[in-house]
Amino acid sequence: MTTSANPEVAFWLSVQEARDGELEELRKKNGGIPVIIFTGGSSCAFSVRPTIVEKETGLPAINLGLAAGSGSKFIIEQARLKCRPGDILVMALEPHFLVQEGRGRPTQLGISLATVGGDPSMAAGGESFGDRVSLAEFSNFMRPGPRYTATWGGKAIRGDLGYRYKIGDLRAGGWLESAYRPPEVDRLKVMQSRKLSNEGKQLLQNFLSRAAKDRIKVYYSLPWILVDPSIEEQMKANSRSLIAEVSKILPVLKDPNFGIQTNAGFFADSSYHLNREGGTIRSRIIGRSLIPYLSSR
Amino acid sequence: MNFASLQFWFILALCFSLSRVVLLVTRKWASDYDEKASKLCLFATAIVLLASESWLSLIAFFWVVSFGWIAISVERLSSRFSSFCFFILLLAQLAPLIYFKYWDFIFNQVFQLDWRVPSVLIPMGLSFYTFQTISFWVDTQRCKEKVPASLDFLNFCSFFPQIVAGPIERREDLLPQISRTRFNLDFTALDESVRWIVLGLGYKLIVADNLGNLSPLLQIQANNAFHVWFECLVFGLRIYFDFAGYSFIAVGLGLLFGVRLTLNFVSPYWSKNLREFWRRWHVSLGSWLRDYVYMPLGGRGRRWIINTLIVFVVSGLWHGAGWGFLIWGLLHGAGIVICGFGGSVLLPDWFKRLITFTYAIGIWLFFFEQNTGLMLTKALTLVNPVAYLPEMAFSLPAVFQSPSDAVTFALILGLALSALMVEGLDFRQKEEAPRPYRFLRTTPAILMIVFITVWLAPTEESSFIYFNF
Repeated sequence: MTTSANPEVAFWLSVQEARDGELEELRKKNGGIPVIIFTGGSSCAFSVRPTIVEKETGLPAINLGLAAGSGSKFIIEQARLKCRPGDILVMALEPHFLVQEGRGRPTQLGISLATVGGDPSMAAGGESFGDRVSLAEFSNFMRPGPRYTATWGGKAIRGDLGYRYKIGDLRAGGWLESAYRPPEVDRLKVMQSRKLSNEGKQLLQNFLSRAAKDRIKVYYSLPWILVDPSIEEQMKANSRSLIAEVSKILPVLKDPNFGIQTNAGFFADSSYHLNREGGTIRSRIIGRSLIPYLSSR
Repeated sequence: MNFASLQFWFILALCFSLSRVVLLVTRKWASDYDEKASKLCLFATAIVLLASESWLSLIAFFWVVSFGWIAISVERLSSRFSSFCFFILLLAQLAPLIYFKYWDFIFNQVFQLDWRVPSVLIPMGLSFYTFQTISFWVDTQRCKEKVPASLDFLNFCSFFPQIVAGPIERREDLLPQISRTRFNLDFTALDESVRWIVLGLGYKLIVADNLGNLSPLLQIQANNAFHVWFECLVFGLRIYFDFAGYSFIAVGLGLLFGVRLTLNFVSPYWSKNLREFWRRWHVSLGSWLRDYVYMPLGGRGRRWIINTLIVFVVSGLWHGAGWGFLIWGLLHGAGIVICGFGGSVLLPDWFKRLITFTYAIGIWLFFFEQNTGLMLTKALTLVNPVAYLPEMAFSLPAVFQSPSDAVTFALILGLALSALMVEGLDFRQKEEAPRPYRFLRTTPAILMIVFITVWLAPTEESSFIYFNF
């Protein structure tokens, strides 16, 4: 009952529905040629412009990024299920999924989306990982909890019950362009470790193994993040070392700045969401870095 | 053993079910051993629950209890009980506590000896059952009580509702009940038991756990008195609802099996002075310190001020090995001493309660702030008039990272303060021995607590704060 009333769940469900329709159209229009599918958290959903990638690569592209709160396994598994043999899947997962332990468990949002989608086990990663959502987890996460209740109550008092983002923010190709602009975008000021965790390694390896069976080619792209200039160089060094570790498992798309940015002019409403200009630049870089891999196919 | 976890209830149900099978077989084939079998089942349940936490907790428990048993047995075997023997046996029982909890503080912080030991988590409940075992031994010796049956002693030390976080029970209160128990469900006490368990889970899950999840998100400016008071209030509520919640569940579980445990909390934040506060907060620890530290030191004799301060330094250090805990204890002791000089000061009750509440909340700062520099900065902030300027008050919202945090805090704090208000209704009763938390244990209140717990309990599990003691 409360899941259906959750505006965040409703938003992402409507986005998924619209994207599914667009993907179907893409496949019909382009025959059997591979599609480039992007997935990740909101740093992907609000940043990667598939129409730009299409111009660079000549292949149709679509953005299936969700909220990071859906959980890493749900995010990548739901995208894998929409791939066909020969497709290219670009994982633009937020680094914390790969460097922190304990990030692989189902989340409240993931279970809600998976349940309404008809298969709660998707929240635990479905077939790619073989994990299940336990009855305790399901019962636990199907409750609204204090944060949702308080936020919903606060919004109700303000007279604005909707989610921050609207279906009208959805653009061609499935990327989201937020109209919301805070007075100032928060920059990351505290150093973040970027060492690949055991859990992160398992996540990539297991997923890759399943994708290989489906003949899906998987690549990784590091999301862009807005940081304070004081930590720029160290963060780039940390990102370089993460990329070095990840590239031992799957190909990593090149990015001259290793995902670390200090120009707030590229960002929209958060340090992970790009505006049109930033999204265009990033998408161009992604498209160009994909070309060598496409030529070698 | 975390009463708010599914794992605990699952293991308890499993052990209880298995015990029914064992007792069924025993009654059929060896009915003479029925009593012993039921007590063994109770002990086995406690051991399984303790082992499910950690093997270290189990080993430490057996160490303490073994030396406790030796201490009682030595007294039985020899009437010449020298001070040396007493000291050695006391040290042996305290050894795990000293090693796991106080080693670093005593040898490295106080004496600067740099004697490092491997850093491990303190075995669960160590402080509680160590004190309980020691008091059993002292009471046995002092009152020349007869040595109990070994199984009764083991069950006294390990009774699972209270082993990891109290109450610290006395021989005279718990042993007779333990020796009578047959590890059966007491259906006559079912109603009362369920109400205490529901109230405890509500306190823990609705308030304590949610505040525990939200607290790390606070952005406290150490030089802003309103920020620091807010942080103290959040912690003071969290630790009360956490510990009281645990204690209520312990009482409920005890009643379920026919054992009445001490109610460790009796609305302490409604106290009119600190003496009353310590008769209502962690009741069993307060009475333990009174009987085994304060009275042997001389009690309210000539040196009562020193004795009081010593007791509260011990109380502070019992809670944790650190200068902050020591200061916290000392401040409580100082407050008690001031109350001793206060006599019957003519102030309205509401004012006395406000002062006591404010003082108790404020000095939690020394309890939770681990960083010594920050602790001193915040302490000075609390007594600095400049830190109370209006612009400081206006920047209170800056404590929250987002509007969502602010609203969530408001919701949980609102529920916590509402619960405290309902507790206060107990103090309007005219009866001499009011039933504590009676309004919160009425049927409508219990039903509402169940609903709110299901709706608002956090999605992440959180252990009880007092497990670290």
